[in-house]
Amino acid sequence: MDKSDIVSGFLLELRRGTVVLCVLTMLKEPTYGYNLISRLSDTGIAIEGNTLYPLLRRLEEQGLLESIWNTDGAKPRKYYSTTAFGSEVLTELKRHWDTVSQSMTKLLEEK
Amino acid sequence: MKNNELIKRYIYAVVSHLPQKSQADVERELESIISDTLEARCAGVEPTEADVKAVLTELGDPAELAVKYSGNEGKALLSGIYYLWFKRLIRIVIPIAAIVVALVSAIETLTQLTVPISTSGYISEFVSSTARGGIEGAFQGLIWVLVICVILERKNVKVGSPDFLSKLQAVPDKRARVKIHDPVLSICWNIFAAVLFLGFPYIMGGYSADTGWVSALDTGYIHSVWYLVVILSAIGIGKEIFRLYERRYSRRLAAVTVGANLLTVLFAGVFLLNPAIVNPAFVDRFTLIFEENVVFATNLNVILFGIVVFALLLETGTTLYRALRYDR
Repeated sequence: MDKSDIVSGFLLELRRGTVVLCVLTMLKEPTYGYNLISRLSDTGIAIEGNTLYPLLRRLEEQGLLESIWNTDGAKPRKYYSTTAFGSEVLTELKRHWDTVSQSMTKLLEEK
Repeated sequence: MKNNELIKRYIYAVVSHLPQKSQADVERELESIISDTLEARCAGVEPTEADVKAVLTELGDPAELAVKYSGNEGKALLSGIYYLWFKRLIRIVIPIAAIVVALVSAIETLTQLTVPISTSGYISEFVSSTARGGIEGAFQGLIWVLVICVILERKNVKVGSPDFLSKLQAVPDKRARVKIHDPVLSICWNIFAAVLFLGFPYIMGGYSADTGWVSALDTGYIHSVWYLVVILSAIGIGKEIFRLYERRYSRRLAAVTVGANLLTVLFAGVFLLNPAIVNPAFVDRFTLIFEENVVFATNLNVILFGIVVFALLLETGTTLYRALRYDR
């Protein structure tokens, strides 16, 4: 296995760990799947559809997201948004993220 | 192939792995997602087949997407596609194993019990051994499927292909789908019939007060041509396994059914039309009883063959009709 494969593997793990945080944050306002991918991409976070769409359903099953089909437009779209419970989980995750992030920055700068 | 047809096939290939209750919603969601992605990619221009293929390829192998939707990634013993296979296989294997072992246990009990038939002990022994057989069969089936799926996962056996788009199957009309219980029950029947003929042929017969139980079939003949019973059973099971694989009344299924049924008629003819299959003692005894209907006792094997041919004709006819009507 060459270096780029190893780095790709670790990057995948890093993204996997942060994607829920991204989604819960972005979905404070209702958004449909494809739009969410575009908005995440605009902020520099690339996530593939085949990872995001199933994830949205799983988070919905866990009660962190809720969804509604909007049939007002030219075609029906499923809009997801973070629930109150999802926001509580997000607050908790964000607190941990800040701690980990500060520790990591400190660690990486020291070494 | 039209773009819509390719998308339909892709979505069907994903949702067919998912539980019934979530299929309609995932189907609608995928339609919306694919449509949005195509719209963004083509910017108002009609998508070409290449665009559709690119979008579907980006979404990835339908089975892998189904695994992500099912949330079965990283299960302890089985994960991913192997867990989906496991769930699909146990729906087939457990009923077959339970029904066949229960029936065989029931026959064994009937032929071996020493308790008088009129006592309640007979009934309770019969019921408990049949139930015990069913539970043991189901458990054995579960263990074997689990072991096979674990080995497949550990060996990392893959059945997917990078060119999954060219292998997508057409979405069948709802009336053209093979209901899973049909082939499952037919497999049970094929195994049961083979066990009955090879293990307990003497229980098919008649009873009269002066001679007691007389077997209608000649056990010695059946044992001498045991391979014909095995071949007939193998043809029947093979055909049903193909029905389970195909899951729809297609022209391919119709061709396999016609071929398998022709072979069955051939081997059943060799097996049943030999007069040696009928027990002479049964003919003697029942010729006396059915004085005016001697034909029944003397031509028992021909009547049996006629029933087999009639059942096969019925099955061939319905399969051909459905295949020609729905597989266009």
